This record gives sequence, C-alpha cells and structure tokens, in this order.
Amino acid sequence: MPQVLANAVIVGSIYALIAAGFSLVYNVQRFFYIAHGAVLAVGAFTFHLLFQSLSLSPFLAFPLALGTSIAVGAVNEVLIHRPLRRRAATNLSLFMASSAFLLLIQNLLLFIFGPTVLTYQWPLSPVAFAGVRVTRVQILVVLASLSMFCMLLVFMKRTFLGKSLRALADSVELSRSCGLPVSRLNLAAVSISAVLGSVGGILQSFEQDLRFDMGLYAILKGIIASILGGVGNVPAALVGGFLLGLVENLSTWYLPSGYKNVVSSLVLIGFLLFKPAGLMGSTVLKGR
Amino acid sequence: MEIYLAHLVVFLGIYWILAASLDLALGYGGLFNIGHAAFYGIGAYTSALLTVHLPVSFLVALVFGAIFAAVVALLVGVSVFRLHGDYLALATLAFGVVVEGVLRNWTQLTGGSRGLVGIPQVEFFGFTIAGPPAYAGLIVVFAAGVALLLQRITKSQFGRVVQSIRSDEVAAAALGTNVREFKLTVLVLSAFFAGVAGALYAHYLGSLDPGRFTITESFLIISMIVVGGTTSLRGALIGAAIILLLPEPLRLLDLSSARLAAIREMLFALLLLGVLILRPQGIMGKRVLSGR
Repeated sequence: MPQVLANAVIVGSIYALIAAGFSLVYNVQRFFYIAHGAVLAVGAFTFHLLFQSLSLSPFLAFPLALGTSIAVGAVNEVLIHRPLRRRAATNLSLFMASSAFLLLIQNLLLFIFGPTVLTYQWPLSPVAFAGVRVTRVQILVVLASLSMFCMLLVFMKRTFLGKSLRALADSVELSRSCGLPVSRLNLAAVSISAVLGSVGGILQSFEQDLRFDMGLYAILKGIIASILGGVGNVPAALVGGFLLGLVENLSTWYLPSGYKNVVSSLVLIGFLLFKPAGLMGSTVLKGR
Repeated sequence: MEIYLAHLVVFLGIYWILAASLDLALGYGGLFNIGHAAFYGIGAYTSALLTVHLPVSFLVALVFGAIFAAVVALLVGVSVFRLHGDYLALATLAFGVVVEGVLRNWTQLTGGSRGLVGIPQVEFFGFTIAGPPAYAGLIVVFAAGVALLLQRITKSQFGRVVQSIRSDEVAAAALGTNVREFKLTVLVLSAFFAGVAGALYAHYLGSLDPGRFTITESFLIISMIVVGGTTSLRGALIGAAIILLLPEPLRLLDLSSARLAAIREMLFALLLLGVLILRPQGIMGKRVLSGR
C-alpha cells in the first residue's frame, strides 16, 4: 500500500503540472485548450532530441526545450485562437480548432521521429526508504513538480502579471476597462502554460516513454486532474493531480490495468454531476 | 476498381449516417456531444454479438443494436443533462472513454483488443449479400432511408422546437416547452441512427475492433459536419465525402505507411483549421456552429 501511495504521488505530480497549464488558459479563455497536449509533447521531444540524441548539457537542453514549447504555444495563440476569438467564435469552434492543432503537431512529430517509442537510458537504481522503492529520477520528478508549484503560487498571488491574469479570468470587460492589455495577457497565459506543460511533458517522458501521440493522453489526464482539483483555481491542480494519480493506482491495485482509464473517467463523471466545482474550487466556471 | 469504388460508397454511406445523426444532436439540438462514436460502437457490437451467438437475421440484429444504443443514450442523457456547454462535452467525452474501455477489456464478451471476428454476412430471404458491390447497394438504401427520416424529423414541429431550444433555452422553457424531454428525445434519436450505422459497419467488415470507436473517431465525425456545415443533410454528405476522399490520392505516393498516415492526418488538420478560420459556417452551412 505505501508503494501505491508513492506511485500516486509520482504520477500525480506530473498530471498536476499538465493540469495547471491547462487550467491557467481555461480560466482566461474558457474553452478546452486541447492544443496544450501539442505544446507539452513538443517540449518533451525537443528535450529528448537535444539531451539524449545530441548529448547536450541538460542545463542548455532544458531552456531550449521550454523556448520551443513557448514558441509553439504562441504560434497557436496568434494564428488560430486570436482570429477565432476576434470573430467571437463559439466554444465548440475553439475546441475543434485546438484539437486540430494537436492533430497537426502530433503527426508532425510522427513524420519526423517515426512511430517508434523513444526512451531515456538512465542508470535505474531504486532507493528504498520506509518500505517504498523509488528511483532517483522519480525523486527528481516529484521535487521538480513541487518547486514549480511553489513558484506558480507566488507568481499568481504576488506578481502584477499573476494578478492581472486572475483579473482577466474574472471578467474580460472589466479588465479591458481597467486598461489591461487583454491580447498580450492571453499570450502571456499561453506562454506560462507552455512552461508548466512542457516541464510536465519532460518529466512524464522520464517516467514513461515518448510517443508521438503522448500529447493527447497527457491532455486528457490534465483536464481530468484540473476538474477534480477545481478548474477555477490554478494551484488546486496539485490536489487534482494527486487525486487522479491515487484513483489510477488504486484501480490498478484492484482491477485489471486496462480499466484504469474507465475508472478515472467514471470518477470524472461523478465529479461533474455532484461536485462540478472540484475539491478546492469555489465556483463553477461558465463559458463566455 | 469496381470493388474499390463500391468500398468507398459503403464507407461514405456509413459516415453520412453517422455525421447526419450527430448533426441532429449537435447541429439542430446544440448538444455539445463529443462521444458519438460510443453509440456507433454500441450498435456495432450489439448487432454483431446477436448474430454471432443467436440465430437472428441481420435486420433484427440491426434494430436491436440501434435500440440498445438509444437506451444507453437515454440513461446517459438522464444523468448528464443537468450539465451545460463544456461540462456536458467533458461528460460525453468521458462516456466515450468508458465505452471504449469496456469494449477493449471485457474480453470474454467482445474479444477485447484482438477484436470480434466471424460476424455472419447479411442474408435476405436466402440471398447472401456478399462483396462490396452488393453491400454498396444495401448501404445506399439504408442511407437514403435514414436521410428521409432525418429530413422528416428536422422539418417537423418537433424539429422546430428543438432548434428553438438551441437558440434560447430559457425562452423556449418560458413558452412552456419541456426542454429536458426534447433534448433527451434528440439525443436518443441521434444515438439510434448511430447504432444503425454501427450495425451496417459490423456486418460489412465481418470483424470489429475497439480501436474503431475511440474519441478520435468521434472527432472525425464532428469534423465532417464542421467542414460540410451544420443543420444540413447535404452538408453532412459533403463533409463526409471530402474527409473520406481527400486522402485517397495519397495512396499513390511511395512512402512508408507511418509517414503516409502522418501526411494524411496533417492535411485533415489543416483542412479543419482552414474551414474553422476562413469559413466557420462550413461549406454548405447556414449558421455557425454552437454548443451549449
């Protein structure tokens, strides 16, 4: 059982990062930001290419991977979301466009890297403490995720940009009338979300492997985790991520592992019906 | 060549039924359903399992497949219709994942990921409908039948009430419409026709695998009505035709199958983005897509 909890914390901290990136954009723009999956997959593949294939220093590969992710997120925002928003497109159109962008990037990755699974060659030496076996990489995953969340919390509560983003999430009209640069804030939200997402994607690729379609599965987990935590509250994604990790690991404990996604989907439906605001959220967000 | 063309006609017919049935819920009803492939899969598996295990004819199996899809839709609708917009979409998406997971994991019943094989061919009064050309004829009859029914439904008083609910749910309720009942009926009808398409698909291929009924498939069906234009039978047909036929010339390219698949999907994504940004109402569309 302690092993189940440890595994839940490890995958949960990855889901949490992906979820935080999703819910940041969802709060500001109020539609299903499926393209987040594309952004994080690009980050993970770039890091793998630079670090594993070209054997660059991780301190150089990491910022370059983040930069590529941000660029992809910004392209999506400027070329696709912005024209659609200007036309006051419906949520369904934005959702479809965002999904189409994920499909485009995912198949670009397939074209470049092929359908084979890419892996990292780590020296896998598990460390045992308190009856739990974890690898050094897994400890790194959890610490990296937690420190990202600390920074996110400080950023959202203390900095001017963070406060502006929360204002924009409350009301576009009021933010505009206060003179906030709404268009640039949207771009900022997408960029910060790209940072959170690609760190999540890179950590996920340490834990599991890289496949061209990792973005789709990652974004589905991210959406579920953000709803469980409460989508109106960005740092609550941490709680949602841990809860989703726990649900998944408990379900593989009791049921065949194939039912993992079924169980987490049923939990999601349960939350949507009975606690749509999530564990930590206070209100249900409405579409604009 | 003849067989190839007949094969295309079969798939075009099946996807027309799928796209038009989703259009009833999404285009006319404004229900943001992104789990349509689940109803398709339920219809396919139900009718296939009936003919595999019981001595029932194709038509009986088809009707039961469609009815079972409709019953599941009723249960889904009763539980999720208190949700709106994005939350409804998410619930239907989760429902799609659940159905796919059950098809994939209930190995004794469905054959799991290896698939369900040995679905008997279609027979009418002792005549076997075998091979794509004959089946294409059958599909044309069914597609025309479904199209006629859908036209009757959407042009009726029921269809107009449904569209009024889509436009303004509160106003429709204020005029005394039982909004919930109308939405449920639309979802049930939509699932029924998706079930018909599923049965047609199952008995054409003779085998089923759960990979055909994923969220990706639902996305493909939504794309057809987005590209063709919503609230239009002709739009659903044109959207299905464009999305199915567009990648066909790529077969002539000499590339590995993974790269070919990648190019096909990228073209599809670009087409969808182009339509959404440049012509949001779709090719035949009268109105811009909306969901609540």
